[in-house]
Amino acid sequence: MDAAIDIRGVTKTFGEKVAVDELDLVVPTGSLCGFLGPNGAGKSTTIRMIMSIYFPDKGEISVLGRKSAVESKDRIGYLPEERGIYRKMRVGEFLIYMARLKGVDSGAAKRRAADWLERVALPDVFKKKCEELSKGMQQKVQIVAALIHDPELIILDEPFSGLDPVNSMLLQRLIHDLNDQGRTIIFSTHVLFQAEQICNRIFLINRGKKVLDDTMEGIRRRFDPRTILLRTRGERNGFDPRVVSGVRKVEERKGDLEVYLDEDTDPIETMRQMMNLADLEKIELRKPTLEDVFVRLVEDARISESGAVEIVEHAH
Amino acid sequence: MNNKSLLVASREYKSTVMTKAFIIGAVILPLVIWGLAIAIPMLVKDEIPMMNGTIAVVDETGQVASVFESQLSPEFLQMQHDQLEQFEADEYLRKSTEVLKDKGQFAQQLAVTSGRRAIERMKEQPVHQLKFTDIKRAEANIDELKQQVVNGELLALVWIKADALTASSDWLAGLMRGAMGGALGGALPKTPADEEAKAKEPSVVIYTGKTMHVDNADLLSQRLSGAIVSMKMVENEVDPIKVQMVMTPPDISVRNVSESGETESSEAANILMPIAFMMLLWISTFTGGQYLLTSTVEEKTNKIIEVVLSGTSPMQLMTGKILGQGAVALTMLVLYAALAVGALQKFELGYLVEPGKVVLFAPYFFMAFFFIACMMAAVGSAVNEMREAQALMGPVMMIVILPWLAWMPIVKSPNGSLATILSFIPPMTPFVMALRLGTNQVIPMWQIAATLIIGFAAVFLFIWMTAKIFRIGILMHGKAPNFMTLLRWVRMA
Repeated sequence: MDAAIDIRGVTKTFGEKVAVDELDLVVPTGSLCGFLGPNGAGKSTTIRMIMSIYFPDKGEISVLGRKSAVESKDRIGYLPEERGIYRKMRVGEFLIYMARLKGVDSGAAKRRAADWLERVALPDVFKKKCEELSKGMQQKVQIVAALIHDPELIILDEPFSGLDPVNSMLLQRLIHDLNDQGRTIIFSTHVLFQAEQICNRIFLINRGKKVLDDTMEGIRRRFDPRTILLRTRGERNGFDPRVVSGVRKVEERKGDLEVYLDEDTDPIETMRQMMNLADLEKIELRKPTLEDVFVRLVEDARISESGAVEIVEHAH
Repeated sequence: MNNKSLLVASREYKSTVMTKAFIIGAVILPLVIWGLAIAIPMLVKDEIPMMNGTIAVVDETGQVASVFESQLSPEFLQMQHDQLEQFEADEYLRKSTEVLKDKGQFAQQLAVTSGRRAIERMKEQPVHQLKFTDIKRAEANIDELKQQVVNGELLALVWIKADALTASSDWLAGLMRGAMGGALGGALPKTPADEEAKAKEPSVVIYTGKTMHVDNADLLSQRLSGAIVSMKMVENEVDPIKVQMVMTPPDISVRNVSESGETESSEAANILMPIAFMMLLWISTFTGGQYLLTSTVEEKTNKIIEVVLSGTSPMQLMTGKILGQGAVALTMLVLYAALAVGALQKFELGYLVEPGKVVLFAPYFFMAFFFIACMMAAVGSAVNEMREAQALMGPVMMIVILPWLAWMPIVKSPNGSLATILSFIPPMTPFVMALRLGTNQVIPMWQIAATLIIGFAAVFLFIWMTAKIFRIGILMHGKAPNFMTLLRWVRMA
């Protein structure tokens, strides 16, 4: 299986500032990737280079098997971070224009524009001027503009920012549907919760360097749970989890006990032992959230001078 | 040319032309002004009322009244009217202005047009139904007669004094009197000069009521002075036909001599046409250019640019925008040129537009548009907002405004050294050439060919530079760029 996007050794500098530094990135065809990183990490720059809006100073990018996105623009759907709209244009006209720019013939463009507006719950705006729409509605129109030509590769830069929870859900479902149809999707965000729920693959970059690149499962496995959360029914009756071997440390938080385990302890076996020892209301193995991973990696990177590779090793 | 550029162009054109601002400002307003210019002379042409009543004539000479009265009798006026109806005005005017042919078609046409208007005006004269009562001076009470004019019992009172056939009008004394009286008002003390002035009262007075139409009062005074002049001629034994012949000035023709032969110099046409050519070029290209600037800056401020660039390359975008606004400029040109030609036809000056020059005008239009469009696209792509654009436009405008400052010398000697040199300095080339082509001089063919070659070579250079600036500028945000920044971008990549 070919990679949808293959970035090798790409560097981009703006004056003194190194925005992207020797980045390698492979996006497998059919994957649904979250592209994470703190503000100013180089996400948008990387995406713009993928879109051939910027050109790398060094390194190579191939998109959909071609040397440059210019040759396959019509097969890519792109929602930029800075999204504008022709304010005076009517929504329908705008969508048809965008579709035709990407090679859809005018009859089909018109049909699709109407279908898509229906699909994102904006059935009555076809004839309205773009400036008459609310910001959230405009954003949905822009998302439609990125998808209307039925692209194989979809790149969304911060698609969730500015959407209310209902529309966020709608977009999530949409992304899943599109991915189920076999389209490759990559979206950047700094809302980790969403990435965690949606993605099957995560890239994390910080200061222009890749810090993490793995499938969701791989990440969970790598950031193996070493914490058990439990709560006793009623009084604790002098129960102390530390009697079980392999417990490193216990902290109490809002009535829950957080039990940190040693590296080589089997968490399932420990949980079984604890259930025998005390009358528990709940006990669970805490999964690491991306938030944890993110904060940890970014924090570590700030402390460490020695770069990403070592941090990833350290995380094992 | 590719499909995406054409799509961009068509959007650009539609979003510019299909706006209220454009339709009202650039189409309806000129049409209304044009319509008014044509319609106002028609509206102003009011009906001259027919005079029906009695005119009292007090003739101290005893000679003028009968001639004057006969010239205004209903029978005589009816006869004149009938003659005018049968008169072949066009035929007559063409023949009578034949002598003007040497002065150029413009002068002849002007004479024909004004002659036709005069004849039409004469035809509009109603046949007045006038009666006259002659009153001897001895029996006339002038004040009482005046009162009758005021009452409306009399249409007018004509008082021809005894010296009417001997006095010449002392226009200088009259002028002085008017000027002094006007300056000092009634405060002027009585002087002997006043007494003298009183003695120089006009020798003929026509009193009319307030209701008399100006044209009718004119008619009375014309006929009266005609009667007096013809009586004077009889008195002095002068042959009126000889006087007519003596008073007609000779035809003097001013000819420009050059290698290509003699051409007529017609001042009015010589200034009208070059300015019209350049105005058309200027208005149309700058309108298109201005829209290009606005739409480019708008795309940047609205951050739409990246969305569009996901479908096109920056070059396709720029090409499309320039083409689209080129179509806007062309629309303006065709519209305004049609209005201008229409107006010229209306005043029968259509021949001033020579088809050969219009054909030559076309390439210079495209050249001018590309120059302006490139500058606007470069500036528009580089700035963040309109305010910054104004600052960058300064130096650009300086170059293009020069032909305006130098239009007079260029038009006066279109083949002079100033005109020739300016024609070869690119951004000015099309504007200077438009001025030169507008004159009736023959511009050497080699110069036309050379300016076209140099001009279009410069156009390609401009496009190349603009492409570089556009590609970088369009994605650049932040600090307002200056002229040097633009040059640096051209050198980059």
